[in-house]
Parts: sequence; structure tokens; C-alpha cells
Amino acid sequence: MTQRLRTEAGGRVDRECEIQFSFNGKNYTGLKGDTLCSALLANGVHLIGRSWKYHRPRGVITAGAEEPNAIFQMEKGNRTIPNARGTQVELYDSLEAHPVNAWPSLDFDLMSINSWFARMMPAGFYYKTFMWPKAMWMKYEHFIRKASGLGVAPRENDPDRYEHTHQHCDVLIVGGGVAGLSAALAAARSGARVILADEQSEFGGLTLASPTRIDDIDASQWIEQAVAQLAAMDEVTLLPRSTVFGYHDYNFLTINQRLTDHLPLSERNGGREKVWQVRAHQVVLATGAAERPLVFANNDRPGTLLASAVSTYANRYAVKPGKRAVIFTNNDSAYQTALDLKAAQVEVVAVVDARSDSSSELANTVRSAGIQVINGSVVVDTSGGKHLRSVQVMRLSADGKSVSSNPKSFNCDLLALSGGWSPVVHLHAQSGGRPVWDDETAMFCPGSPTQAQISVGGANGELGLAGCLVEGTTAGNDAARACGFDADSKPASADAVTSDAILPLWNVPSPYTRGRGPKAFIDLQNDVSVADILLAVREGYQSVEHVKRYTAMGFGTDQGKLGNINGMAILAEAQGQTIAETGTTTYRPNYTPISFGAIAGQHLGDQLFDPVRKTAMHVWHQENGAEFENVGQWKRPWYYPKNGESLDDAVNRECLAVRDSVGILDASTLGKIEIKGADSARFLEMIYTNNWMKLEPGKGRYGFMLGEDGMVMDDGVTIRLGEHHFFMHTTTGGAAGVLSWMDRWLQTEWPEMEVYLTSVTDHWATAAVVGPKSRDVVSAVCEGIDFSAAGFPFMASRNGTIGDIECRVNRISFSGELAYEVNVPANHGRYMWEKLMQAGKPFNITPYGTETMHVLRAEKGYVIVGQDTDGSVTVEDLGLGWAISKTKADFLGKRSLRRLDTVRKDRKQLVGLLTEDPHSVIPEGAQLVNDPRAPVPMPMQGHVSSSYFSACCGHSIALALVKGGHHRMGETVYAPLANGRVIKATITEPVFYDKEGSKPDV
Amino acid sequence: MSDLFERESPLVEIKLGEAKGNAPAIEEKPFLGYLNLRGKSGHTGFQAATLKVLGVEPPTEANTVIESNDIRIYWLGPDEWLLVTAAGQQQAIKAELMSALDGVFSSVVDNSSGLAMIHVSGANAAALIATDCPLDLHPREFKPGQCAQTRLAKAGMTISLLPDETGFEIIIRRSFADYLLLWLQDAAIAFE
Repeated sequence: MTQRLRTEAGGRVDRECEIQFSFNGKNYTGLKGDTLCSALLANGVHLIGRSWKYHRPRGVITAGAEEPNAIFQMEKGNRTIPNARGTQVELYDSLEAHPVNAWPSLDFDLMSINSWFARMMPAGFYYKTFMWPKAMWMKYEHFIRKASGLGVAPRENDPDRYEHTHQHCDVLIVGGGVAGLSAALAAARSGARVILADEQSEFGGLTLASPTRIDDIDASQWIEQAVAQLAAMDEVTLLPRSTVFGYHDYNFLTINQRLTDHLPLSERNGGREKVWQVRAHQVVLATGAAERPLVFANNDRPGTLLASAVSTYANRYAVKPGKRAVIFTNNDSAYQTALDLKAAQVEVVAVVDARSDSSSELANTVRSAGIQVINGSVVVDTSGGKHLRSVQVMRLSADGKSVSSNPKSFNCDLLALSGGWSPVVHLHAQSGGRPVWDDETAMFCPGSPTQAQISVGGANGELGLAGCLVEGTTAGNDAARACGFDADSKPASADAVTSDAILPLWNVPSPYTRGRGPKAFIDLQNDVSVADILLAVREGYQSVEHVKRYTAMGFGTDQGKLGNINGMAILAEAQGQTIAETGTTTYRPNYTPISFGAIAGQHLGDQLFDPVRKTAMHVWHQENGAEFENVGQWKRPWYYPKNGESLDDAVNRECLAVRDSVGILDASTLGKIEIKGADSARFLEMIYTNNWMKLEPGKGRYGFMLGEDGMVMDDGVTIRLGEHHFFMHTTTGGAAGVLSWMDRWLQTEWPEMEVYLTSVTDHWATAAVVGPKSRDVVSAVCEGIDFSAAGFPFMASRNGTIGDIECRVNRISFSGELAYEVNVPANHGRYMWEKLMQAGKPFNITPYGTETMHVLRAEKGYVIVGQDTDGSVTVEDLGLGWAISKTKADFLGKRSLRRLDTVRKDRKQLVGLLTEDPHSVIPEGAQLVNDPRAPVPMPMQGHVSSSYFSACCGHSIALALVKGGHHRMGETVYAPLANGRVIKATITEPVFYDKEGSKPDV
Repeated sequence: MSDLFERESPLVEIKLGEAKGNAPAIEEKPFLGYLNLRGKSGHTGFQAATLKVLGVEPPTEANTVIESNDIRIYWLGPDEWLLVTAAGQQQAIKAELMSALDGVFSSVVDNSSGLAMIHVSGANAAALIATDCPLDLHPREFKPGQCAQTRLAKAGMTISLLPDETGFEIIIRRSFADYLLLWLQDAAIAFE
């Protein structure tokens, strides 16, 4: 019998279905229905990890999400999961678990030497010790990180698929215990859309582990019936294995559903996890309450568990968590654990109750069962190594502040603790509610809701079964009614149980001198003890948030779910404050850790991480070997390497082809906006810096748009198609922003203007045909247009056809060459492109990409907004003052152009640079200085914004923004590079090719 | 070069096969006409002109779609509508509208190559779209005659129910169509 600690009968495990698994390299057998922790306990495995700082032996302490100790490295390779909570890992065949934070092995942990020196490692130890000398911190940190820390992140790509969904509902119920089930039944019966989410594999919550009755049947049977009823309703979504991990504004909650983690690796198909983004009209929080441990010396030995966890292991998982048990409590609930253990045939040595008297029906039942109850006493210390061996019990003084009498020792291997209960208020607090301290029950209960939300049952501090049923039903009815449904369900019934009041007991009085005895742990995962909190207070920390960060209490994978309330209460005591005055730290999402995969969902990889926008000619570019460049979300051809050409070789070839004959560029991505209405010209006068009123139809004009700060925001050519009709081009990246910007002005400031804007960026495919032979090419393809120099001058626009297809040709140039931009509706884009390629064949028409486009325009000194400007550059800085109207009364940004700073003479201004060595290309972004030997920090003179090798000029060219540059022609500047090299250059006008500008006028 | 197609849909790169398992069917409806109409709905000249050409005034109730003269008219804003016409009809309708609207503050812009239409139909159509669309598509909330401008994954879209209520009609920008179809096909794996 390998599972030597199984109970004889009962439990929700399937005794017929054995499951093989391994932990720490050893093979074990468990049962279907087990968690990893229940299976380990069934096999008598109590030592499952080492603590974070002192490497003390630790065992499982809870049976739920609050577990600080029983965290595991699950599986290996690309499927490994760090820090999985064994209390929530469902056992599956061939499961492989490893301890975290034990080196070289769990049984013999070298680092446990830390525990001998524990007194020398107080709170803030690392900060205090390793901060000197400062330069060594990086080395210390490396050592500390190896010595501490928990699980290991996977190094390989995650092979699993993760899914997302958005759902809406009338009522979202979080937690499927009896309160949540009652709420769901009440709401669902009214016809409301209901989602019920629970983190466990089956609904029922803590009641699954308690031998009780509802509506005169076994509680587990009632739960089964309730779930069946809900499952049969169309508008109900049941989500088991689903953790509501975030509660955000507007009743927006996020749920992580685990779809396959409970299956053997070989049987996992489909998505591993699914994140539900739920918008709920009403939210019912039925998240239950969590038991608190008690804080005393050596309260962390394996074999020390919460009383409720002991009951859960015994009743639900059919496991005896020990053979001889002592129960230590300050309230009534642990008495049930005594009965549960007895029923599981575990010897209960004693119930140690801090209260001087306990006379409730439950307590008396325990006494009648022959179990010794020791009132007015506390456990003050324990002994044992890798497993608990005995506990020491002393009498508590009448004022509860000290202990007296000789300690009495009890041999036991199981210590069940109950320090009271804490409603799980995490989601309530995340929603904006503030937990309120209640002295009578010693609980932080939910405060006033700030959203359409209510807490019920244990989450509301109601610990009785009957009360949970009533609260749940009432909340379900109310929530459904708030959504407009008729709801009038009656609650199920259960026996009301009366219990004696709790005796709050935070820092159990000790026979040891304060701060001198063995460690009494508050936060087990971070090894925070009472002494650390007291030290923090002595050192002047006051805010609970600061104490948290100084001592690390409440950090870690469990986020202090188990220990925080005890810690806050002990802090309050040390400060002489009430617990309400000290308050809690902030509860933040995520409730439990969420895998990165779940957050990413399917938004991964080259195709789906971000939209890939494609032009109508994309496939042609692909088929013709283009390398692509991301421009915003667009994929644009970057260059077209031939026969393994390098980028430089391809660009040189493409540039020369354009200058000598003809090239073709896909210009479809430029933003295009139709502007219609009687005030269109007046509107453009405000939007652009130059004049638009007198532009004649069929002609275009280049313009700058400024922000209100007077800085260049966008540029482009706008064509007047009719008296009240313009067609605007924006930069590729600026398209959406410019449309919003203009619509904002129309809607908010100039609603009287008759102007309508419509984006047509996607409607038009555009091919720029560029070079001396461009006229021959476009005139062979586009019909119905007079392409003569006189008939179709520069900056004119003409409509024609390509076969049956309408086309618009604009004579615009961004290269200084004769050039035409041919536009057709994008469905015909590839057709147009292929026709132009055909017609260009006699001229060796050369497709070129953005890189060549950049070189060609830089040779002419044409700026690219966003490359040669950065939001702090004016039109004047660019040397293009002619583009600013001196006559217009107003335009956007005009006022800012008179600011003192805007008219400074030493602003950074656009200039050209010619390097001394014609083959040296200065890296873009390089800083420029006057004297490369000047002491550091060298006075900066400016930076290089565009820089290329120009095959047409035969030397390197650059554009730069240089302080006072317009008046520094011929001066020398230097670009000191990171590798120590210095490039010398001369400041010039920013035009390098065809300075007379005669080429396009043919 | 031997096979020169005069026109190509935005989804030229996508292979749309039969739906697998319980995945919904995904179909493209290519080459429809799309006109963007702007105007003041309360203006008598605008009302008369639209009534004359469309047989109906464009809807003024937010997020609704109506059909008239084989044209679907989507409310996009208080002064903006999208007209979807049969393939090839858009030029004639645009010309008629512009002529009827002569002198009236308005705008009719052809965006036929700028948009694409996708139909998603079958039992899991809503679930597939809900994979990454924040709109409530439940039949109690999203009904025939309604339309909405929202997002699907990281692309903007206009969505409405198919007239036979077997699924949804999605209108997206041409340049996002390829991304969105790849995304939909990937999301559909969850239903196979």
C-alpha cells in the first residue's frame, strides 16, 4: 500500500482510478480527484520545499490559492511551469513535479546554513549589507539571485495555444460555493444571462469538504443538483477551473480558464488556457473566506496546516494529513476539524483553545467524543526537523498578554491551526471598494461597493452555511431584478449553527524575550517573521505599504494571501494603533499569477502580433524578390535585390536607373483624404501654412501642417479637383492622425465651416513612375490625357483611363525627376502596375523601394517629416520659409512662430554635410561637434538626420540639423562615433543633385 | 504576365476553404460598390435628393442599417453613411446622388476598392467573432437592422447581422483584410 495515509472510505477521489506521478525524482501513486498536494500527503510526503531566505524545510499548509509553501516546478522543457501551486494542481498521469529553491537537493539543502545565521539577516539585510561598496552591488546581486528566488522560467518557446474571448452577461458570479451557486440559481431562474466562474475543478467550494446537509440532503448532493440545473439553462455559462483574476472599472472582469492543465501531457489538445474578458451588468462576489494561521515560534514546520485544510484533505481527498494531531485555535471552526480527524481515524491529542472557555454545541460535541480540550492555553513553540515532532503548550494569562506555567509538550506530527477567518476581499478591493475592519469578528469585510457589485457568503464575513444560502439567493434575485428580470427565488435551508466569539490573537504571547526567540513566521514564502515587522517599526517605518516593501511581506507568488492580515495586525499592535488605522496594503490584479501566453492569446508572430497592411501590389513585390520595410503597420518594398545583391548595391542600381531612365515605386500607402464642401479652400488655409484660395482646379500644391506649437506635423501635396473639392496626400505614418486632427478642428472649433472629410487611403493604388523616360511609359498606358509638357505641366492633375478603368495621374515629384503618380481603384492596382511594367520594358523600367526613394529625395534635400523633423523643428528651421504665407491672417501654429524660442537665431537648422572622405557615410543619429578633442561633455552642435551614399553624386551625402546651421556654410564639423572613429564633414546647402532644378521641367 | 487579371480582391493571398469541424464558414463578398455619403439629415434638399435616388432617407437612428433599392445604408455618424451597392452599380448611383445633391452641402465619395466584405456564418459565428471583439453579439442585444463600428482583433470594422440571421457581415478596410482573414482563420482553429 503506497498511499499509506489514505482514509478507509469516503472522499471525492476515485479509488478505482490510480494515477502515477513523480516528485523530486521519486515515483508515487495517487488517485483521480487528488491534487498534487493531497497525493503527496497520502504518500506521507510532507517536506516539499525550502523557504526563500533561510532555506528552512517547509510543507503544505493550505488546500487552496493562498498556499505559500507548496509551489513546484512542473514538467520540463518547453512545457515547464514555474511556481505552480500544488494545492491547485490536479493530479494527472505521468505528472512530473520538482521542488523549487533547494540546492543541491531538497533533503540536503546547503543554503539552509542561512537559517543558522538567521539572526544576522534581518529585514532589509540585503540593502544594508550589500550596498557597500556600491560598485560591488551588481556582483552581490548575482549571488543573491542564485541563492534565493523560486521557480525557473521556461527557456524554450511555449508550444501551447492560448485563446481569448469577450463575453457580456447580466450577472457574473465569482465563486461556486453554496453562496455562489444560490446566487446563480436565483439569477438564472429569472432568465438573466449568468456566468458562474470558480477556480476549482468542481463547484461547491469549502462545502465539498464538510459533512453537512442542505434541504435535508447531503450537501454534496445538493451541489450536484444545483450544478445540473444551471447546466441545463441556455443563458448560463458555467466556468470551472476558471480564476477571476482582475476586476476593473465599468464591471469589466478578466477570467483565466484552464482548459488542459488537468490532463496528461499526451492528451492535451487545443488551447491550454482561455482568457475571458467579461463585461457584467451586475457582479456577485462569492469568493469565500480563507482561514488564518497563528503566529508563534517555529510555526512553519512541515506538518503544520490550517485546520480547514486538514478537514479538506481528510473529507474531500480522503487523506490523513498525520497520525497524531494537535489543534490550536482561537475560534469555534477548528472544532469541526477535530471531529473530521476523528472520523478519519486520526488520533486527536488535544484541542488547544486560547479562549478560557468554549461551550458551544460544537465544542461540547468534541468533548463528548472524548477529545481533550485545553482552554486558556496556547502553542508557544514546536520541535522537529523535516517533520513536526511535538508542540509546547503554555497557559495564557487572563489579560491574554503573557504565558505562564511550565510548558507542556505533546508529541504529534500534525498541528492544525485556526486563527480565524478572512473574507477573500481581493476582487472587492480591486473594484474600488475598501475593506472595513470589524472588531467583533476580527475580519476585514467588504466596504461599500463602488460598482454594481455585492459580496455574499464567506466573502462578506458570513461563515454559516444557512447564512450563505440566504445571502447568495438574495443577491442573485437582486442582481437579476437590477437587470430588469423578475426574480423571486427562495433560499435552500440548512441548520443554523451558533458559535462562541473569536478571541483575536495575532502575535501569540511567548516565553521568549521579545525578538530573541525562534522565528515566528508571518509570511512563509518570504520568510518574514514577527521580529522583522518589529524591526521595521523600530527603524521608523510607519505606513503598511512601506513596511511591506522593507520586509517583503506580501510579495511573492502568493501575494501574502495567507499571512498579510496577521502581519498588518501585528504591525498595528507594534505601533499602538488599531488594525483599522493601520489598514491593508493595496489589493491589485492579478489575483493569482497568469501565464504570459494567456495574456498574449493568438496575438503572436509576424502575421498576427500587429496588423500587416498590404497594398494591392504586394504579391507582385513578393514575386519579384522585394525585401520589405515596416512603415507604421504597412509593409512597403524596401529594395529589390537582384542575384544576391546587397542593400547598397541594389540601391545604387535603383538610383541610377531612375536618374538615367525610369523607375517605379509603390506609393499607395500615402494617406489620402477627400475634402468636399464650400469652405474647403478656407479650411485648407487654416490647416496649411501657405495659400490655397487661388489654386486653380486641376493643379496641386505642396504644403506644411503645423501643430499648435508651430512645429512641423505633416506635409504633402493637395490637389484641387474642383471649386469645392480637394484631394489631400499625407505622409504614410501621419494619415490617421491628420484626419483626426482636421476633424477635431471642424467638429469643435469651426463647426460653421461646410467641409466634409473622407479617408480614401485604401481605395487608391498609386504607382509613382519616375525618371526621364517616365512620360514615355505613362503615356503608353494612360489614355485620354495630353502628356505634352505644355498640356500637362508640373503639379497638374489629369483624369484618364487604362482600358475601362478610371485613372488619375498627378505630375508630382519627390526625386527631382520628371515623374507621374498614376492612381487607380486598388482592385485594379496590380493590373495598372503590370501595364506600366510592360510599357516600361523598352526603358528597362526598374522597380525601387523606400530606400532608393530616401536617397533620391535626400539628393534633392527634400525632407521626410518624422525623419528630418522630430516635433521640435519649424518650417523656417528647414530653410523652407517660402512655404509660409506672410499675408494670411491666421493658420494653425502661426502664433507660435513668433515665440522668442521659435525665432532664435541659433536653433538647429537643416543643412547638408559633405564628408571629407567621400566614401564615409556618417551613421544617422550621429552627434556633431566643433572640436572632437574638446573635453567631455563636448558641446553638441547638432545631429545627422539622413545619411546615404549617393551613387548619382559619387559621394556620401547627409542632412543634418545644426545649431545656427544656415549661417555656417563651409564650416567644418566632426561626428565622433561610438567606436572612436571621427568623421570630418563640411556644412553645405542641403541640395546635392541638379541644383538648378531643371530636370523635371522637360 | 500572360494572365493579367483586370481586378483582384484584397484577399488575393488568402485561401478560403470549407469550414472544419464546428468552425463557422468564412466567405468573402468581393467587388461590391461602397459609397461614403455625408450630409445634414435634417436639410430638406438633402432629404429630397436622397429620397429620390435611394428611395428612402438615410437612417437617423444611431447604429442602424436599412436596405432600399438594393442598396444597404449603414449609419456611421449623425451626418455620415456607408452605401453598399451591387458590384458595378456604384458609379451610376454616385453620379445620380451628386446630381441630385447639386448645391446641397454634401459629399459622395467612392470607396469601393477601399473596403472588403466578409461573411461569417454558422453555429459558432458569434463565438468566433467574440474571440476578440468587445461588442455584445448576443441576440438579445444585437438585432437585425443594427450595425456597429467596433474592432475585431486589431482592425476596425463595421458589423451587422446577415439578413437571414445565420451570421454576421463584416466590412473592413482593404489594407487590413489580409491580416484579419489570417487572424480569423487562426481563431477558427479553436472551433475545429
